[in-house]
Amino acid sequence: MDPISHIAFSYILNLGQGSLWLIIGSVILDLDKIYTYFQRKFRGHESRTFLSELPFVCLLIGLSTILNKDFAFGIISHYILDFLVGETKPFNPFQKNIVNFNLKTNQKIVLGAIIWLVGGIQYTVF
Amino acid sequence: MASWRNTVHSILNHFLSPFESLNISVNRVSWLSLCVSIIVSILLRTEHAILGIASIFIVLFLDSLDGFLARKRGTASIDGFIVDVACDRMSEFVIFHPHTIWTILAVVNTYVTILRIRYEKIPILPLRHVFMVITLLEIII
Repeated sequence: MDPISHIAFSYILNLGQGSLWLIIGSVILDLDKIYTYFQRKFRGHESRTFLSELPFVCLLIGLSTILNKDFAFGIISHYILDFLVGETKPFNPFQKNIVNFNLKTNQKIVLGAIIWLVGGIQYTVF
Repeated sequence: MASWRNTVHSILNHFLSPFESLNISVNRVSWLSLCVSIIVSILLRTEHAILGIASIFIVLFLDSLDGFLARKRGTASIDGFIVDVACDRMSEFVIFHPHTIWTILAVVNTYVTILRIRYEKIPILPLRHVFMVITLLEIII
């Protein structure tokens, strides 16, 4: 999913209470994409390193829950959206099994559009 | 431990057998349980505690149902197990937010799960069950 969808999704789940830390948390897991981009790996589990998977992410969530709950929730929402929609290796580097719920491309596009729409309405109306 | 697990499975089989003929993939049930967890999280944070607890019950039901369907269809595998436990851990993180202690317990449970994947005898902590009971007690008291 794209960064805007991640931000909108975290904003929706946080009941329309946005903050800078929530936005940073909801996009920070995609920082490793800079590395995989230069490796010419753009799609699916290949575009993810162990830094975007559960063993590392849960440590980040645990630490940031103590320091800043919005940041922690941004990370949680990011991982959940990637997990539900994309292709992940949840226990990488300990277990390399790939998880993919096989959503079709048009389903992902519709889901992304709904997230943008709901997030937009929530932001403008409430 | 094995006999205790067998007893739990036989009780669950009794309650879940009416759902045996459901035309849904096992992984889709796990996917659905994570989606319901998101609803639980919203309900609990908007102070709809009773509805939240009822929804946790649905999450736990779906969590039991995926394992039951996999066993009945003979499709139980390490891949399915990983989908199931990954959904469960994500579900814990989203339900327990913003409770610090519970989130830290969920972190511990994630590492217990990693050990469980390698060593079958290690039990995963039933955190959502305990959370549901404690939240229910808080409402009653």
